[in-house]
Amino acid sequence: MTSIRQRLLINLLSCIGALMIVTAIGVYYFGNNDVEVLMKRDLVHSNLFLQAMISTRLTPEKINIVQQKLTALPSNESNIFMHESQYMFTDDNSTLSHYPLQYQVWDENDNIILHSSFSPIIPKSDAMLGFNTSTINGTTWHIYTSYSPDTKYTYIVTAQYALQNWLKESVAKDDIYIMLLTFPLFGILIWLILAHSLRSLDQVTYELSHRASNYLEPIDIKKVPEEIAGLVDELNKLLFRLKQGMDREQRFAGDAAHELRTPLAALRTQAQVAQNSTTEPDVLEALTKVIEGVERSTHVVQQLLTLSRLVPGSTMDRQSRIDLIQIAKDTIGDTINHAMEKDIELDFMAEQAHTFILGNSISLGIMMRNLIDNAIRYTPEKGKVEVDIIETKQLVIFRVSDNGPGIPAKLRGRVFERFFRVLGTKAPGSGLGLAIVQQIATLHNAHVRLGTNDNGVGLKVDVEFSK
Amino acid sequence: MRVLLVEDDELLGDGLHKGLQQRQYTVDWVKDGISAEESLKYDNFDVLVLDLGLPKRSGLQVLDNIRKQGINIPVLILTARESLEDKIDGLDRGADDYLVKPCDLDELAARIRALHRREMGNAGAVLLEEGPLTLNPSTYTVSYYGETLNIPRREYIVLEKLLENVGKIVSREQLIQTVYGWEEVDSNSLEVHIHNLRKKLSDITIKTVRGIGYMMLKTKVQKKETLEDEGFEEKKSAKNAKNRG
Repeated sequence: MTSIRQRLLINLLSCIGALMIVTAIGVYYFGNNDVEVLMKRDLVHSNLFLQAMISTRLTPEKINIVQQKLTALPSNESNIFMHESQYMFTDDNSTLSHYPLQYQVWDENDNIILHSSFSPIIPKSDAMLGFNTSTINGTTWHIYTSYSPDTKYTYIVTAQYALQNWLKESVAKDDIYIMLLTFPLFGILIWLILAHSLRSLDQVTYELSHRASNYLEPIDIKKVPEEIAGLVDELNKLLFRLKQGMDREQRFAGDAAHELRTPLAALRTQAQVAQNSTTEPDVLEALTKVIEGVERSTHVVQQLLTLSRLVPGSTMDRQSRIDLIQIAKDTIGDTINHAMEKDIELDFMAEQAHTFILGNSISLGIMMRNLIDNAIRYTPEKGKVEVDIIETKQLVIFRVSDNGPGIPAKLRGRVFERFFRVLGTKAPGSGLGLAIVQQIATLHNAHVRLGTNDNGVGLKVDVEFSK
Repeated sequence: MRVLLVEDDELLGDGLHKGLQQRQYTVDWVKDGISAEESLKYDNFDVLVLDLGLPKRSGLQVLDNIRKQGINIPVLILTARESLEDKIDGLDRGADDYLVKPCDLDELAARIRALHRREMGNAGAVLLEEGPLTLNPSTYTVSYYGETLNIPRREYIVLEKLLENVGKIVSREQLIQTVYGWEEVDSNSLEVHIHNLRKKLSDITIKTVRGIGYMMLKTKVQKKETLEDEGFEEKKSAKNAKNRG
């Protein structure tokens, strides 16, 4: 199980962390230039200051005094520019001298007349006017040299190269400190934002979890954010299908309970008649009727089950190319015995050898079986039942016609209702046969038409499949 | 007692028909609403057992129609509709009892008896008694001076009818209808039953009223008792109460 909240939090924090680290690295590696420019500006600036302050020739006495004062300057506070970063000169970074910037002044003979305490001894070749870099005793220095024609002095300001790296590291380190400090804060903020955004999900969860198990109404889609609307929509569709299924089950149970009452009453009554009968033939007759009742109840249950299984999306709805004529032949084979028992002539006629349609062979078999059974059941002895498969340009028609009593025109619409039986019918039946036929036809987008034969006698049922 | 059974289901109708006959009822069976109404209009029955889901005319419609026509026969609805609403509706439309399928034959017979007792105006009189003769409708037995008699079905029905109408004339047609219903009947078979009953019950007087019918007279002992002892009726009901208990 994955939590969106956790994953988002971890991923967002990782992204922010990575961003900060990349920034720090970037500052360290790519900020080189900026730091160098900054340092060179410092060098030039300081150099100009130095020139301005010593803008006249000094007597040796004065030089002596200035040099003494310079030497006496306390090592830590001598540089006002860098005083905030003093700690770094005093700690571990021992390669750096105590002063970031060092000064010296040369006379026209290249003698050092003034210098700050840690000024390096610079070879004349590295003291060309402008910027120079020189390595002296293993330490690399940036050097800026200027010359004043008025005083004929050469002014030199130097800074250790290492200072540049230190500055970069310092900025990168600061970045990391900021990151470490703000990281938990980001975490809390993200958590709160996520909690707020995911509240609607929690609401849907709450709504679903607090439902009664049989409450299957859809979730209000207006209340949920766009991102989960699709999910909720699918969930609603599922709920709808579930509700349909449950309604079907309930209807099945209700129908079964109701429709089995009469057959069960008959069973019980006949059994009691058998109990109370005094002569053997009476007992046998009642028991035969008990068995008849059991068969009828079984038939009702079977038909109910069939009907409840005939729903879109069920296995009975899986369609493929099938041969209607073959199914008709098989079904007639199954029903021929019934016909023969009643001495009914059962004929099959088809112009083609095969008629293929898109359909489900099992359900179509059930449909044909119901129609042919009905015809045999309602046709008097020595009657005639005819099964035809007719192909026209647009349609394939499966037809069952008989010379039984038929169905009055005004009742033809109602016979498809569950448990509707034409009044006064004596033949046993569940009242579900035509409902099943109708349902199977619907699953095949076919139409069922009831009529009479051309001579106005009997019943003609046409099931019209479009090609 | 003569019952009209209205049930469209062949198997159940057949069972109820036979079962009630086994319990000494005369049963006539019709299978649709219109036939039921016609039968009730032109014939006499003691109790109507009515299914609701009937062809041609529904049971409730039959009930409405007969009540409108002033036919006050006790009606027992026997149906697969088990909901409370259906029961209330059935009773409110004039039914006297409501039984849901599947039901027990003995219970059905007992309910029919109860309805009939009330109709006869003696709801408390479970036993039919006359002098030394006692007929127990719930066990379908007849005892005479304390001894159980073996009486064939048709004679039992004749005796029951006469006992229900002691001191009153029961017409020949009424008796024949009660015993045979719609069965074909020999012209003198009723006389044969009466003759047999008179032989078995020597102290009971079944009088022939020429051209009209028959009448069971109140026994002399009973007459005397009635005259001498005003508390007889009380005694009788007390006895009945005991029997019920």
